[in-house]
Amino acid sequence: MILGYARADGGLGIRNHLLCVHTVECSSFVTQQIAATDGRVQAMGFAGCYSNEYAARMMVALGSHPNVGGVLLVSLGCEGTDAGSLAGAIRRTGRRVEVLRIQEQGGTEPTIRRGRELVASMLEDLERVPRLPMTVADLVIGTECGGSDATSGISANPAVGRAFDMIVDAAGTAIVEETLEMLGCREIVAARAANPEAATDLRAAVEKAETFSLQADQFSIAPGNHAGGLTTIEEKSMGAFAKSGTRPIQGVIKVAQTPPHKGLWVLDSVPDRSPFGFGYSNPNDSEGILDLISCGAHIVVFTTGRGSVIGSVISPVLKVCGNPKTYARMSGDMDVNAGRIIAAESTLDEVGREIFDLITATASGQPTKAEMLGHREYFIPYKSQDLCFNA
Amino acid sequence: MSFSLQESKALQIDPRDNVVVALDDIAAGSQVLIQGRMLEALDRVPFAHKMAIQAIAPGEAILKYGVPIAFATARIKPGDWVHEHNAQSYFAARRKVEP
Repeated sequence: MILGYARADGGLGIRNHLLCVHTVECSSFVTQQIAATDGRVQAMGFAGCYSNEYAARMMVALGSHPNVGGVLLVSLGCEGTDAGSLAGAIRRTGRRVEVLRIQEQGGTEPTIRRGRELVASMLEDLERVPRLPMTVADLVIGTECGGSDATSGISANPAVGRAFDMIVDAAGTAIVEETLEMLGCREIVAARAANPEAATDLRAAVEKAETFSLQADQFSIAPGNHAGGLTTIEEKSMGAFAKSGTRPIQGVIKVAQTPPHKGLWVLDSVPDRSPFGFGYSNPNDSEGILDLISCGAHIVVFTTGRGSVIGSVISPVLKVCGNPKTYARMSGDMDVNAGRIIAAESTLDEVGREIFDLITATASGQPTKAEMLGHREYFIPYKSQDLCFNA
Repeated sequence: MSFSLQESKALQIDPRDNVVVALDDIAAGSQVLIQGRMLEALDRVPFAHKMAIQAIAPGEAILKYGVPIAFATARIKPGDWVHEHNAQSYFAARRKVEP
């Protein structure tokens, strides 16, 4: 049984983290020093000085995540991001939020001292969080791929798709990212829409991704793809989109937007046009994982072929390796060996069931490989995104 | 070395698919095991490439992941290798550009 952490706003978490957040790079060292005192405390933040609406929205969403019980914001004091308004927004969810401004505290040592006192008191609060039973229907699961190779579209991604179908069938919530990997698949994706509004939003999201790719000159299927057996851009894209499974798509959400209801959702993390043009989309895998977490994902299922070691702050990351040779070399970092499909030792259904079972075990408190190794990557870039109003 | 017929393995990703994916390099003439039944490979099919398991007429869809990922540009027989020589992107055809 999954025993969740019941939050004042009605959310149910599967982890009970205290989050220390730097609101500018200038306060990141002090934040890390405060957080280093206890394994239950995680440090993350936004490095930029001039404020960014997207990054602020993201920090509020992450501070209000069901896996987070309390937040300590550490500010230098003169940066563009307003720690006070972030604190106010997170406090409205009923969480305890504290703010320290280094300039007011009198520098490094007084801030670290005060921060550690606050952390000790906030950890006591976290121990008193009530526990409530949860089921798969209460879970939000995200998926992303990185370090893909020719096996990814055959083994790991379709196996995650099988697990996603099981989550949706159990009345859970599932989010698939990477509209940039739906190039050439606009009508295939739109045909999966649960209703006409969702179809309109899906078409618009894929069209935006196509425009972005054309401008960024990333719109191609490379000779190596052909040599590897991929005939068309549709096939290449579907190899990634296979993670979504086969169930109807309820609509499109943007970064830091919680799915409005249960079922399968597409996360559009591609920037919208701003005075700076589009800007970069997903600068690295950790950013993509954090996008999913900002939408409320309790767990992120990450598929890889060439290999990856990352985890994340806030939510556990389950790594599914599709290449049997990579798995043999990096098994200490991998939670699931989907390479067994390539070796014809297991079926997609069997590995899909294993991923689903591991999701429930992880939700019940079993640590992932990345959690055991202490991985806590995060990345929040400058980005410009409008919210999605149909969602 | 064994003198028995070489047996290769292939994966049908979705039950609706009319192609399978080679899990090894499949030699022409070898017997391919596809979810419990055997089919003779008519061409060499490299690892991760596609082999037809049904006849596909020109213009008909190549189904992988249960969706049309290409259309046939030639008559395809069960056991044929399916790639750029006999299949084309709908998307590229629409855009009138090379894929």
